[in-house]
Amino acid sequence: MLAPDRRAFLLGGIATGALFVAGCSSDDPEPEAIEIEPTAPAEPDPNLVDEFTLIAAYTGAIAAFPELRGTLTTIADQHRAHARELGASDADLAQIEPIPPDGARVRPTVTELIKRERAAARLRTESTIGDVDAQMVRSLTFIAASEASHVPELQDVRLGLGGGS
Amino acid sequence: MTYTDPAAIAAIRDAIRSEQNYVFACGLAGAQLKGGARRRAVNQLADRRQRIEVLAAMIDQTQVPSTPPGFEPPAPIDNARSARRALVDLNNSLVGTYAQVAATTEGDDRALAVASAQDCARTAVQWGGASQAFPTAE
Repeated sequence: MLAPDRRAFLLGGIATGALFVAGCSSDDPEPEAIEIEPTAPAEPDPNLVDEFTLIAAYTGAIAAFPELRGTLTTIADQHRAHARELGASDADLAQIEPIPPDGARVRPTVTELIKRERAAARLRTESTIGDVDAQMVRSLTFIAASEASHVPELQDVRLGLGGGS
Repeated sequence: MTYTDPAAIAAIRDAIRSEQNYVFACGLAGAQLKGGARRRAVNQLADRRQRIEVLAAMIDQTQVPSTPPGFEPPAPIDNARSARRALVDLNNSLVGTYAQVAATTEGDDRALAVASAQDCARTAVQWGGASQAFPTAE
């Protein structure tokens, strides 16, 4: 998975402590140096970082429990679509490394994914309240709805595992 | 608040009409369903009527669409399978309707629109639909 500071680089710009030097010939007078104030790195988009984390968690769960591949791959692909909507490129998505599940048991892993989806849906909702761009509000509303709908799907998956897993 | 922006009014009116249709669809579907599914459809009738009232309070009362005398579903609801399919599609379609309400309103009203979109997408899955990245009627 991309580290948060890597995302800040990709998405927010670079802190520039640039030094602009006017003139380059050795015959020129002493070059005049103009120091440009470094700009603060932009905050990474928390929704995009969260989508990357979700994709990483699903990829890790699928690797650990291939029997869940069907539903989890479908949901992971939906998170990739969300990330693209929020500005991620295919190159960004290709760099995401799986987050392995905490334990070796499948049921707690699905429960953890449910918790992540609930938290994601909350974050998207909060983000719409602050966002003034109507198109982004529309996109975040669709994404929040999609993520809310993942919860009953995952609950069905967990139900299918029974109590012993 | 009472919205006067034409885009907000149009989005809210659309949501009211869509929820009115959903109420009719729940009634038609409930007749085809049994047990827990029928109870769920009946419960949703009350929930959605309440949501219509909340939406209606956002615009001038002269702008609120009256309840239509009936509803012609896009496809016949004549058995349990078609009943579930209709409820899935109507709920997924409502996600886009509420996304438009969210985009044209603010504050608590926007939060309500987002929560309603989430509820519709969740309900579509509970009626047997598959989740979608950007829920819409299929």
